[in-house]
Amino acid sequence: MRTDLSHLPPSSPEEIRAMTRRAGLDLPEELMEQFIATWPAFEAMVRRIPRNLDHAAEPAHSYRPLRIVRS
Amino acid sequence: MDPAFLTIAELSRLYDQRELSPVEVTRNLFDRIAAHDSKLHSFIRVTPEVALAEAQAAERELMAGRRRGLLHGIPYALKDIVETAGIPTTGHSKLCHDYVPAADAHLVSRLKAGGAVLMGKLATWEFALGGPSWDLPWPPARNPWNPDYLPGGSSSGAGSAVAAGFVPGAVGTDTGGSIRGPAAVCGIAGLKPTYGRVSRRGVFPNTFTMDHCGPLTRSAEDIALFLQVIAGFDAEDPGSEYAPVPDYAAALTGSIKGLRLGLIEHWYADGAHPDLPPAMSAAVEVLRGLGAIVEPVQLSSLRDYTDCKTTISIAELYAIHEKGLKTRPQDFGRILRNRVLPGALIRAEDYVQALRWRTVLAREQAMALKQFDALLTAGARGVADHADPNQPDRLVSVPSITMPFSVGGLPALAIPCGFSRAEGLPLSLQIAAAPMAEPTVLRIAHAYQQATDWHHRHPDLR
Repeated sequence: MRTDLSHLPPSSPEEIRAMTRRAGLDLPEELMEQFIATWPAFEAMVRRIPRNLDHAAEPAHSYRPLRIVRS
Repeated sequence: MDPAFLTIAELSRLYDQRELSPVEVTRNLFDRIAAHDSKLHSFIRVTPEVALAEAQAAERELMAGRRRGLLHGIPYALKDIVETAGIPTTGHSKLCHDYVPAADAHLVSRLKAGGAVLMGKLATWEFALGGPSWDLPWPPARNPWNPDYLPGGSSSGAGSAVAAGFVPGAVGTDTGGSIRGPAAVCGIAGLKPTYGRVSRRGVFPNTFTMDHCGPLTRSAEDIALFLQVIAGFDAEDPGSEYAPVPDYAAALTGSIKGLRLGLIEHWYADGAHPDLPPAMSAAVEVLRGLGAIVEPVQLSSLRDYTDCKTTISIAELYAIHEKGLKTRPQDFGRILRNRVLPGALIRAEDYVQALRWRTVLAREQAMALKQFDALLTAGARGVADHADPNQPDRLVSVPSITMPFSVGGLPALAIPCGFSRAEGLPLSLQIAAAPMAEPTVLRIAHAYQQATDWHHRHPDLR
């Protein structure tokens, strides 16, 4: 069984534009083109994250109420 | 006496012996900055009025026999993401060009209370991430060993200024290596303390879950003295750890006989600068000669650590910068913008999976530290980069040798261990240990520096 998402095809420029719009970003065309060139390396990185961690593996940043909610 | 390359420990001794005064040292260092920083751009802003007032006050108190602390009368400078009341804190960015904080960062309050002398605010990669950049309001800092090269980042000005003899110590921040990287390529010492050891309050965030503040100096002994002043619990920083602050200088016994050190050779054995593996082997032999037991240890790949850390970082970075990216994206430097924007497309499950992976990777380090008192590897996989505005961004493509200990939140110190033959640029050794085991890290580094002289070599700025 695959443990990550690296088998997925890279997003196309049109898909990157659509995802960016859905994130609420309205970038000037020049900046959008820069981002389209940048995103594939980040996408590949995120897809390498393992997805088969034990269910008991807690996120590394836990909520400590005494440190956030003080009197 | 030229104080340019005196250490904090030496300056303090000379103050005690009335052979140097804080005002004399402060004036001398400002003269040196004025003479040379036009080539290095390590400072964004010098603060002579503040510094001379603090130096005069320190001089009066020291002459009267009142010592406020280990940095009393000692000049230092701050990376310009550390807030200073009444003094602009720009993040080296157009976005905060005119921002003047109302309050000091917590660590600045501690330095002020201890009588240290603020010389100014230092260049950084934009908001401690975007760099090196040539499209910001201030130029990127340069490496004093050769200004055609960069001083690393993101605490670029701190690395440059300390190595250049402008200040004996500086405060940097380290999320993925931003203290250790500049220390490594500038030939000085730089400590990323344990996560939560030094307060982050009043420091512009990069990645909440991995931001650390720490010192850059020219010796391990000075790191101990500087850390003593800035370490400690801060109830206003949710990441701060309530743990006693030990006497760091007391750990500098000079003896490491019997310590067990795990060497993570596979992180630099392939693809590193050709002079690095021999320099590391020589450093290991020095440590063995001092009585340490050094054995190999294998951890996950740098690729794994870099993917985990960077995924977490860009998600948090985007949350921090989302408003700016939506309202004034053109005001970001190109590198910062293109490193932060990907966070807009990180899904919640990606972020949480990366945080869970962090736990797994951190436990791997904890297991290794049950076998060993400390871990050794290189401080950087190469020497300083050439100052080339057209160099492609390598944040994701090139795995980082400093990020593993960011993921672990462990104390990690970079110190010089040689120079490359072709470029004449510094090479570096990195030492890490268990959470809050800064005394162990400093003990090993100090013993190594007692047996070697790499930290006594300084660039010639003529």
